[in-house]
Amino acid sequence: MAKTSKNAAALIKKKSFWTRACRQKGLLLMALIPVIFIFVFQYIPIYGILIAFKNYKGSKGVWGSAWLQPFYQNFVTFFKNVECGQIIWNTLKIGTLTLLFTFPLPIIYALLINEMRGKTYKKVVQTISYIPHFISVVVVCSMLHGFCSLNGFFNDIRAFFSLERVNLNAGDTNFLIMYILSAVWQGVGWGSILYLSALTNVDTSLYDVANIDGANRWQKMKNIAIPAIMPTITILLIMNTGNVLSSDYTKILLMQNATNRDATETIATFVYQVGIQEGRFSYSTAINLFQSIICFILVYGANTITRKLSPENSMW
Amino acid sequence: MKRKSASKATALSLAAAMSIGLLAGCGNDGAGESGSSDQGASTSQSAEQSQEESQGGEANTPSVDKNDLAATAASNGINLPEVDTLSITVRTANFGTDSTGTRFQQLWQEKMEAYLGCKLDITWDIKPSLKDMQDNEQQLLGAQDFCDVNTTTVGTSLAEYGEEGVVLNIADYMDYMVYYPDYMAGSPGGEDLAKNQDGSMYYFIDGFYNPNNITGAQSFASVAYRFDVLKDNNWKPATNIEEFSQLCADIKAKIDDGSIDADYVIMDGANDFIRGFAGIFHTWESEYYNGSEWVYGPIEDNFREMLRYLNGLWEAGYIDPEYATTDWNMHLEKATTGKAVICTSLWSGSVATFNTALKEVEGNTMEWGLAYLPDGPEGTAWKWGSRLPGKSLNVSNLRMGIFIDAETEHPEHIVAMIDYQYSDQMVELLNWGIEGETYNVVDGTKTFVDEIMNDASPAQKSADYGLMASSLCRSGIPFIPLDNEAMTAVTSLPEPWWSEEKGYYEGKYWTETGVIGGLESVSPASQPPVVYLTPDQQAMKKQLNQGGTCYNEVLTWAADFIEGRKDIDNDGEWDAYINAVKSKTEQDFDSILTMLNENTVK
Repeated sequence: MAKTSKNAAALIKKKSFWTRACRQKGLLLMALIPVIFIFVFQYIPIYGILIAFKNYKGSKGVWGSAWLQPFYQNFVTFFKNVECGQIIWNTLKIGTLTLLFTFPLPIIYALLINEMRGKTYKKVVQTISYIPHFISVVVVCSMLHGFCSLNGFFNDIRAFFSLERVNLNAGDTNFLIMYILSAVWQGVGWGSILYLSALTNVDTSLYDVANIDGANRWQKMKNIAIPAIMPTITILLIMNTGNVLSSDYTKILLMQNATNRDATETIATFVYQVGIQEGRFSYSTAINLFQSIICFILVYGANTITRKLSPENSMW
Repeated sequence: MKRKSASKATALSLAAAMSIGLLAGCGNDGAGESGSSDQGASTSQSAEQSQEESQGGEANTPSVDKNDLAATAASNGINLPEVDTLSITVRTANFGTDSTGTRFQQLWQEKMEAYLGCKLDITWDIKPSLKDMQDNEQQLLGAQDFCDVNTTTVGTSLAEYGEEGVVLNIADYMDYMVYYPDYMAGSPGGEDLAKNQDGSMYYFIDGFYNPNNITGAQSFASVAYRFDVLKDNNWKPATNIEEFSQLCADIKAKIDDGSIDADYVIMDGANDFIRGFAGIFHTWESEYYNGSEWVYGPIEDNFREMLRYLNGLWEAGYIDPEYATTDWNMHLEKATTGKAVICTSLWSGSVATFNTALKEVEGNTMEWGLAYLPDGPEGTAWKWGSRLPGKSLNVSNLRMGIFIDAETEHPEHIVAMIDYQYSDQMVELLNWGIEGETYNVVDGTKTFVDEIMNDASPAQKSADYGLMASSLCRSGIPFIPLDNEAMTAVTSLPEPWWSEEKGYYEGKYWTETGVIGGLESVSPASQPPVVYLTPDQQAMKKQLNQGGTCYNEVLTWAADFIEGRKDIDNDGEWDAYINAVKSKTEQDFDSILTMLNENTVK
C-alpha cells in the first residue's frame, strides 16, 4: 500500500515537471539558444586542452597526435624555464595590484553617485564615466604613450610644478603605474553599473526610517547602502580573484619596450610568444592550463572563505 | 573536338598578338645600369651566372624554347591527359583589389587555356583579405579543408601534411614543369631550397624576378637626414662612421648654440634602435648566417663594438632619450616637428611619409632625404633583405606559395598551369601588361603609361587593371613572381637621395640601396644556405629568432649598455649579458647553433 502511494507521488511529481515545462515552453525555447551556443562554443572546445599532454601536429589533429612521454612533459619544461619564477611573480604582481585598485574604486564611485541628488547631473556624470570602457585598448595605449612622452600631457603637468621632464614610458615602475591608472580610468564607471543597479533595489522606506531616526548621510550609507550591495561585492570579489593571473596581454604587449621587459613578461605574454610567435601550441596550452587551474583554485578558495565567514553571500 | 581546335586557334592568335609587345622589350638587359660601375660589373657577372643557371635548368628539357611566346604545354613536350574542360576549385585571398573580372585576369585565363589546350572552369573561394586567410589557414589545414589549388602563407609548415599524403608532392610531377625549375636554380641552395631533405616538394614557392639585378633593400639600408639642415650648413651625409661621429658633433654644436632648431641629433624607433647599426658593424640582432656558419649576432664581438659606439653617441648627448620607447606616431611627430636631424634604423619608405606630411604644413622648409648606410670598421655596411639577382624564389618569405590537394582529379594539368605562371610571358603580362596599353618601352626601358603614372596612386591604378606589380591586386593564382622593375615603378615614389658620386638627387630606395651599396653590401644573411630541420628543431631555432625568447633579453641589456647603466667595457658585465641571453633557451644555447650548422647543406 505504502509502495503504491510512493509510486503515485512520483508520478504526480513527474507529471508536474512536464506540466511546468510545457507551460514555460516559450521561456525554455529562448534559453535553449544560448545553452546550445555555450555548449558548442564553450564546452566542446575544452577537449582541446588534451594537446597540453600531446605532441600536437596540425596534420594529425587533436586525437591523432601522439601523447608526450611523460604526458606532463610540457609542465616540467615550463617550471624548469629560467624565466618561470619571474613570469609568475610579474603576473601575480600585476594582477594583485590591479585588483587592489580596480575593485574598490567602482564601489566607492557607485556609492558616491547614489548620494547625488540632481538627476540630470547624475546621469551626465555616469554616462561620461562609462565612455572610457568603450575605447579600444589600442587607442588607450596610444594615448598613454603620447601622454607619457617627454613632451606629453603628464610631463606638461610636471613642468607646471617645476618638476623635471622624465620619460614615463620607460622603466618598470612607470609601467605598473600607467597600467593600473589606465585600468582604473577605463573600468571605474563601467564597473559601478552592477552596484548602482543593486542600490536602486534598496527599499526606500529604510531611508525614510533612517531620516526619522536622524541618521546623517554617512550613517545611511554605512548602514543601508553598503549592506545592500554586500552580496554583489562578495560575488564579484570571488569572481575577480580568479582573474588575478589573467593579465591583459594585449595592453601589456602594447606598453612593452626594451626598458620595462623585466616587469612585463607575464604568463599571458609568454603564452602569446611561445604559442603564436613560436608556434608551440602544446607547450602554450599547457602553460595556459596551469594558469586556469590556479585561477580555479583561487576562486574556490575565495568562495570557501566567504562561505565560512558569511554563508549567505557565497556562490555555492 | 571542333571546340578544342577552335580554342587552340584562338589561343595561338592571342599568344601571337601578345608576342608583338613582348618582342619590343627584348635585348635590352642592363640598359638602365649606367649608375655605378661596380654594380654594373657585378651585375653582368650575376647575369652570366643566372644565365648559366638557367641553362642548367634547361639541360633536362633540351628541346624546350622558353622564349617561345606561343608556347603550349604540348610544344614544351608536356603530355597532358586529354581534358575538354578543366574544372577546379581555387582558394586565394583578396589582396586589396579584387582581380575578378579585371582585364588581365581575363587575359591570364585565355593565355592559360591556350597553354593547357583546354577550357578552364574555375570556382573561386576568395577570402576577404590576406590577413583573414592567414588567421584561418592553420585551422583549415588542420581540418584538411582544401580546394584543388590553394594560395598558402604557411608553405614551410606543409611538409607534415604532405607526409600524411593530403598535400600533393609536386616533386613527383617535375615532368610537367618547364619554368619553375629556373626559379629554383636561381635561388641560394638551388633545388635544395625548394625541396625537402627526402626530395619531396609540397608547394610552389613564390618567385621574384629581378631582370636588372638590382640587389636593393627597403629596411635598415639607409640613414635619413634633414637635407635642408645639411645643405644650409654645407654638410653632407656620412660615408663612414668617423664622418658620422663628426657630423653628429657638428650638428650638436649648432643645436647647442641655437643655430639649428632641434632637440636632438639622432632619433630612432622603438625596438629598431640597433638594426641599422648592426649592418654597419657586420652583425645582426638574432641568429644569422655570416657566410661560413650560423652564429648568434648579439653575442659577437662586432655587436659589442656596435654597442660601444652607440654608448659613445649616447654619452655625447646625441641620441633622443626616448629612442627606446618611441612608437610610430611619436616617430612621425618628431620627424615632422624638427625634433631631430638624423634618423637611423628605419624603413626607407618612412622618408616619403615624413615629406608627404610636411607638405601639409604651411611654410614648411624641412626636407628629409636618404643616404646609404655609412661604412663601418669592416668596410661597406651590410643591408638586410637584399633582393636576389635574376630569377629566384622569394627567400625573404619562403612561407608564401601555392599548394595542391593530393586528391585533385587533374594533378598534371594543375602542376603545368602553376608552372606556366613562372614563364617570362606570364610574369610580364601580369606585372607590366601589354605594350602600348599599360606600358611603353623607351630606350629599351619599360615604363608604365602616363594614365597609370600620373594617377594620384599609380599603385592603385595599376591594380585596377588587374596588374600585380603593386601587390594591391594579385591576378592569376597568387603567387606569381613579382618583377622588381615593375614593382619599383608603381610602389615607390622618388624621394631625395644623396650619394658621393651624384650629390643630392632624386631616387627610389629599392634601386639606390642596390646601386650605391653594390654587391658587397648584400649581407650573407640575405642568402643563407639551406638548412633541413625537423619541426622540433625549427621550434628550437625560433628561440634565437627576432622576437624569440633571447631577443627580449638582448634588447633590455642593449638599452642598459647604450645608456651606461651597464658598462660595455667591463668584461664581467659583458659575460653576464652573454650568460643571461644563453640562459633563455630551453635547450643548451650552443647546441642550437651546432644543430643549425650540422643540418646546413653546404
